[in-house]
Order: sequence, then structure tokens, then C-alpha cells
Amino acid sequence: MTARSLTALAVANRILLWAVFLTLAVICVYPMIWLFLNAFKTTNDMFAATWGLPKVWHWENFSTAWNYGISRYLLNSLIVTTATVLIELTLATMAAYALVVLNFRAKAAIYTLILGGAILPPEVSLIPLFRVMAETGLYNTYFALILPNVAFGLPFTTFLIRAYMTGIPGELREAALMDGAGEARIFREVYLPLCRPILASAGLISAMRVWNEFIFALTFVESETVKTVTIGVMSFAVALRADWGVLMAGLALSILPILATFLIMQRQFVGGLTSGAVK
Amino acid sequence: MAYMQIKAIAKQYGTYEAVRGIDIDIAEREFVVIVGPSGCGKSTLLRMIAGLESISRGELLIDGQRMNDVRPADRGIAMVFQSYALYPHKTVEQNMGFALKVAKTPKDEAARKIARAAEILQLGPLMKRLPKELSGGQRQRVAIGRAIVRNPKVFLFDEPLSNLDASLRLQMRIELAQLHRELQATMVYVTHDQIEAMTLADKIVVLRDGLVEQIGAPLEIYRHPANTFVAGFIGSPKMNLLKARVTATESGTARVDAAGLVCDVAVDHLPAVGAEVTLGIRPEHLVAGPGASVEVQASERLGGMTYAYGRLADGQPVTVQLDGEHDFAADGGLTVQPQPGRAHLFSGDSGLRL
Ligand SMILES: Nc1ncnc2c1ncn2[C@@H]1O[C@H](COP(=O)(O)OP(=O)(O)OP(=O)(O)O)[C@@H](O)[C@H]1O
Ligand SMILES: [Mg+2]
Repeated sequence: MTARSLTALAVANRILLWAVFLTLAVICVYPMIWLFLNAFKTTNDMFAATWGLPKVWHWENFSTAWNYGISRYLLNSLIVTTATVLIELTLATMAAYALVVLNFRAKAAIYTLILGGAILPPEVSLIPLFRVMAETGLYNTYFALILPNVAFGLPFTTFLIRAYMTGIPGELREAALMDGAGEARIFREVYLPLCRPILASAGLISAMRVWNEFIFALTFVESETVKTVTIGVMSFAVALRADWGVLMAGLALSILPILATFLIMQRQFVGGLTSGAVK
Repeated sequence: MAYMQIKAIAKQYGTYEAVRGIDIDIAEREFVVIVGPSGCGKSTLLRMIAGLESISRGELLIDGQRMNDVRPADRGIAMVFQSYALYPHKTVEQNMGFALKVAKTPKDEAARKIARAAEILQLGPLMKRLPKELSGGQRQRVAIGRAIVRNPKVFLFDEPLSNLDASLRLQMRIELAQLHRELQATMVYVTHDQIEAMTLADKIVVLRDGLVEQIGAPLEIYRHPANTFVAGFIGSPKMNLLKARVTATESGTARVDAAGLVCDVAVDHLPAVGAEVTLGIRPEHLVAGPGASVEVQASERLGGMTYAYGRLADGQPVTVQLDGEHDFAADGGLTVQPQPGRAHLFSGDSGLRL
């Protein structure tokens, strides 16, 4: 094979690769583009030209949606998501540190137990959890969402952080021990700062999960004051049956915070996920 | 009385005994180098001294006090790791100051100590850098600086120079020797490197399979290895260990013959005539001259000297170090004789020095 035909082959390869990626990208992105485009239209416009640009940009769709209750749902989602992520990361990081660094008898058993939690689908525990919530008075409070979200997120988050921590050389801890530091200090001053990339990734993964969480939000709360966006938008859709533009604006608002977070933290996200692999 | 006493210390990992009862006495300000083949328990011993591994049996005394159950930081010991183990997210200054911060040392006193260590190690311009912005040699200095700042009585080093290239190793070796003089501290140093052991040590400890084979000053070990293992381990190229037969004995001297290589060796324990013994003779103690003929199979010419690798008449391998350049292909064969008074004799079965 000559050098020329080799480069031709390489170019063809490159084109094929790009075509595949482009197709994938379009499949992922077009619903979002469609959503944002139609959020600016009236219902009539939307049916007239689904893919066209809005003739008039109806910014007021957003303020209508905002005033219709989205603001409250967004705030609730923000509270539940933030609290869940913070509690989850704190617990998972501490558990991971113990699992990686300390030597205790039932270590393997405990780790297996934690991972086992990931196998349990939330659906099967819905009814028992509901009864627990009702009896403890947690029903219809933020905690009714935060606690189960933390519980079901912990296995995977612990797994991720533990994997990352095993890549931190144990000699760092030993050096710190020689320097007089105790476990709490080593955890705070050596492991936590070094775990920043994985904390960002794990936090983002868990934030996306909690923001979009549906089934707990549907089951464990009912009043408007604690409803999160996933459920809120649903009731919104029922109330606004006819006004598609406003509904789209509401949907756009509900995904905007998590989308923005993802875009901002994208690099750390990818970095955290791959850093364990290329040790 | 010795400053640090290691008394019958052993380490058990499950059923496997990595260190099997070691006794070493270390005087104050002594530089002790521990050598031995890979896996013989050097790091394990060092880590037991540091307190990073528990001591399974035996006792560790420092300045008369039992240290077995004292926390690592409270033993008055600092350790320099092979991988340096610098905190990657802390600057040089913070790395060196961490122990002081943990100990709640007043700010100005801490700054003074850090500055002094930085001066000794010439780290001044690097204090604000992160470890990843340093060269290997600089990282090594920071690791030592972190140890110095704590003002320990004892420094432990686990193969501290093995990640450096040859020229940097030489430089750091000289600096370490200087540091030892300057700090007047006790140092325990683990290495694979013969030259580090010979040049740095006041006292060398040779380990094998978790046991001490010999303890002594470098030249003492070089001149009077206690057994064939130490004889083969210390010195480079390795000492020739040849099967030989005792042909005659006289008060305190045995005459042996190894395939034509005939030697008179002074011994403490006279072997019987006709006994099978091991004759030890270093490559640098064989000289060209009438004697045993060596069939040279390979040679290395280093300019100032030449190593010849060959076989004696009965096929035993032998290494000879000759001054100057030799071309054996042109010169033909080689005959060698031992320098008088330089050979060693070991028992044929136990390998112990006779
Ligand atoms: N945590 C452990 N569990 C079980 N065995 C161990 C452990 N640590 C070390 N060993 C074993 O103990 C023996 C001594 O190990 P050690 O690290 O002290 O050797 P070393 O002399 O430092 O070797 P090297 O020169 O290669 O560093 C080895 O056989 C090793 O496999
Ligand atoms: Mg070792």
C-alpha cells in the first residue's frame, strides 16, 4: 500500500468517525433545541412551523411559567438536590476513606453490603418507606425526599470515591502519620483536597439524578410547598393543557439549572471519571 | 549503652515471618546502612522502627525507653520515603511545615525552622512551588527537609536515592554524608546500592531472609565477610567463590587448590587436609602471572581497568579485574595468581568463615 492511499484511508476513517459522532450529537441535542425554540412561540406558531424560528420571540412565556409556580418548584428542587448532594458526599467520602485506609475485621463484608445497596431498585421499597415516612412524620417534608435520595445514591457514590482513593499512594498517609497527624486530620488535609476531581464528578452525577428524580417526589410529598420540578411540571402540564408555549418555557426553566451546572463542570466531570483509569 | 536497641524484633504476616528476630545496637549519631537482597525484610524492619508496622515480637528501645507501642510521631523519628511521599497539593513550604502545624508550633518559630532547613538544603527559591513543579533531586531534598524540620533524633531512609539517575545519586550521596555531619543525628538507611553502603555507613547490617548475616564497619565486612553470602553480596563485581580442596595445613594457615589456583590462606579454624572448602577471592585480588589458566569468555574494558569473565580448568566460572586495557582475543589465554593475604576460606558445607 502506498503512503498516499494510506492517508486517503485515514481521512475516510476520520470522516466516518465524525459522521457517527455528529449523528449521536444530533440525536442527543435536537429535543433540547426543539424545546428551547418552541418555548418562545405561541401554540398556533408551534403547530404551524414546529422547526421554524419563532416569528415573534415570546419572552413572556417564561415569566408566565415562572409566576405559575415554577419558581417554587425550582426552589424546592434546589433545596432537595443541594442537601442530598452535600450529605451524600460527606457520608460517602468518609466511608470510602475508612474502606481504603483503615484495617478492620468486617471490611470486605461491609463493602459488599454497601455495594449491595446499588442492586436494590427503589420501587420495591416504596411502600415500606411510605409507611415509615407516615409514622415518623417525615411525609410531605423535604426530608422525605432527601433521606431516600441519599440512601439510594450512597452505594454508587461510595464506589466511585473509593476507587479514586485507592489510587492515592498510602505513603502519603504514612508520611502524615509520621508528621503527627491523626486520621481526622489526614482525611481533611490530605485525602479531601486530593479527591476534589472525583468529588466534583460524583456530586454532579448525584445532582443530576436527584434533580430528575420522579418516583420519590411523586410518592412522599403532596403539597405545592415541597413539590420538586419533575412533579411540578407535570401538574403544570395538566393545568396548562392548551398553552404549549408556556409549558415549553416551564420545562426549559426546569432543566436549565442542571444543564448549566453540567456545562460549567463538564471538564472536572470527565476528568474525575477517567483519572482512576489511567493511573 | 547503645542509643537505639533493636532486640530480637520479628514481624509476622499471617503465617509468614518477614523478619525473624533481629538484634542491632545503634549508637548515637551513628550512620547505619541496612543492605540485603530484595524481600529480605529491610523495609519491614525500618517501618517497625518508624511505627508504621506493629512489632510482632521483640523490643525497640530508644534512649532506654520502650517504643513498641508509642505513636510514630512521638518516637522522635522522621522517615524519608523512596517515593518521597510529598503532599501533592501543598507547596514546598507547606510540605515542610505540616508537622509543625500539626504540633501547633508558634508561627515565627515554625518559620525559623523551615527557613533553616531550606538553607541547609538550598531550597530557598523553590518554597512556593508544588511538588509536581520540581525535579526528582529537588523533591528528594524537600522530603529530607520535611524530616529535618521536625528536628528528630533519628532519621530513617528507605532507598531514598533509587529513583534518581546516576550523577544525581552521586551528588545526593555526598550531600547526605554532609548532612549527617552537620545535623549530628542518628541515621538508619536502607539501600540496594553497594556504593552507598560502603561510602555512607559507619556500620553495615547485612540481612537475608529476615535474619542478620553480619554487622560491621564497611571495610571490616569487605575484609572479613562472615560467610559466603556476605562475601558474595558485598563488593562489586562479586567475589569469586570457588570449590577448592585443602592440600596442606600449617599453624594458622591452610593451603588450598582450586583447579590450579593455589593459595595460602590464614584461618582461625584449621580445616583437615583433603577437606572440601570454598575459596573466596575478589576479582581485584587476582593478578596476571604464572598460576591457574583462565579461559576468557567475555571481557569488559572500562578504560582504566578490564573485567575478564572466564572459566578455570575444571569449568568453574571466575571473574578477574586487571589494570589497564587487555585484548584477550589477541593476547590469547590468561593465567592468574592470587595476591598474597587477600583470599578467604569458608567451610564447604556451612559456608561460615574458617
Ligand atoms: N503487608 C504485607 N503482608 C504480607 N507480606 C508482606 C507485607 N509486606 C511485606 N511482606 C513480605 O515481607 C517480606 C519482606 O518485605 P520487605 O518489603 O521488608 O522487603 P525489602 O527487603 O524491603 O525488599 P526490597 O529491597 O525489594 O524493598 C517480603 O517477602 C514481602 O513479600
Ligand atoms: Mg523495601
